[in-house]
Amino acid sequence: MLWAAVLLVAASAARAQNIRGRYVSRAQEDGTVYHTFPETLFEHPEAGDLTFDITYKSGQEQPLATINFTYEMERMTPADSVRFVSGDAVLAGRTEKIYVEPGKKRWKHRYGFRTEVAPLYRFFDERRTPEVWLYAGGETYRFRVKRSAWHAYAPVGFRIFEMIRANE
Amino acid sequence: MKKLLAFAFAAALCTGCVKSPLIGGAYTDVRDGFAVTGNAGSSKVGTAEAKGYVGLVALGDASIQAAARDAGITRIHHVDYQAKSYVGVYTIYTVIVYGE
Repeated sequence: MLWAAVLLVAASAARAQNIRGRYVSRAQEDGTVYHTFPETLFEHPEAGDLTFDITYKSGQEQPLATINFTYEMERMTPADSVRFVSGDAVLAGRTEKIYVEPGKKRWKHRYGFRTEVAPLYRFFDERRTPEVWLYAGGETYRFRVKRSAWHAYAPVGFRIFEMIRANE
Repeated sequence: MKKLLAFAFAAALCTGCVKSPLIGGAYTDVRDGFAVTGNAGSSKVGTAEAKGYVGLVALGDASIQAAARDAGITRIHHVDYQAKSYVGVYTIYTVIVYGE
C-alpha cells in the first residue's frame, strides 16, 4: 500500500513537471538562454530518425534561435539546407556542419542552422502534420513526423515557447 | 498485494544507482551544478546522456566533451547535470554544457 502511494505521488509529480524535464534555462547578463532537450519526432525510410534540439537566447537585437539536428546515412551525405514545416510556420536555413563521423554501419551527421524565433511560437501545433525537408548530397529527403510522438510532444513544445514569449 | 510487495522487493534488488546529491527510491528528478569556468557568457547549449536499465546494463557517453561537441562549443562557461531514475529500474544521467 505504501509503495502504491509513493508511486502515485511520484507519477503525479512527473505529470506536473511535464515541461520541466524537457528544457533548461539560464539567466545571464545579456539575456536568458533556453534549450530544449533533443527530441526524435521525424523519420525517413533511408535516413532513419532525425533528432533535433532548439537553443534560443532572449534579449538579443536579432531574435534568432539555433536548431541543431542529427541524422544518419549509409554514406557520407553533407547537408546544404533544411526546412522544418508545420502549416504556415516554416523554419528554414542553410546548414552549418558541427561534425560528421562514422558509426558501426552508418554515418552520423550533426548539423545546425539559425532561424527567426517567431515561427517557433506557431510550430508546435498538435493539429498540424509537420515535415522536415533536408537537402543533402544533391538530393531531397522528406522526413515525416511520427504521429504518436508528435501528439505527445507538440503540447510540450508549445508550452515551452509560450513561456519564452511570456518572458520576452 | 503480495505480488506488489514482491515486485517492489525485486525492483529494489535490481535498483541501479544514478549520480545525484539526492536519490529517491521510487522517483528521482534532480538537477545540480557540476562545474563553472572563468569564460564569459554563453549562447550555445549541448547535452549528452547515458542510460541504465534494471541496474544491469548502462550505456552512453555522458562526458563533458561529448556534450560540448554536440553543440559545437569550444569555450565552456559552466556545466550542469540532470539525474532521473524511475524506481531505479530506468535511469538517465544527462550532462548539460553551456558555452560559446
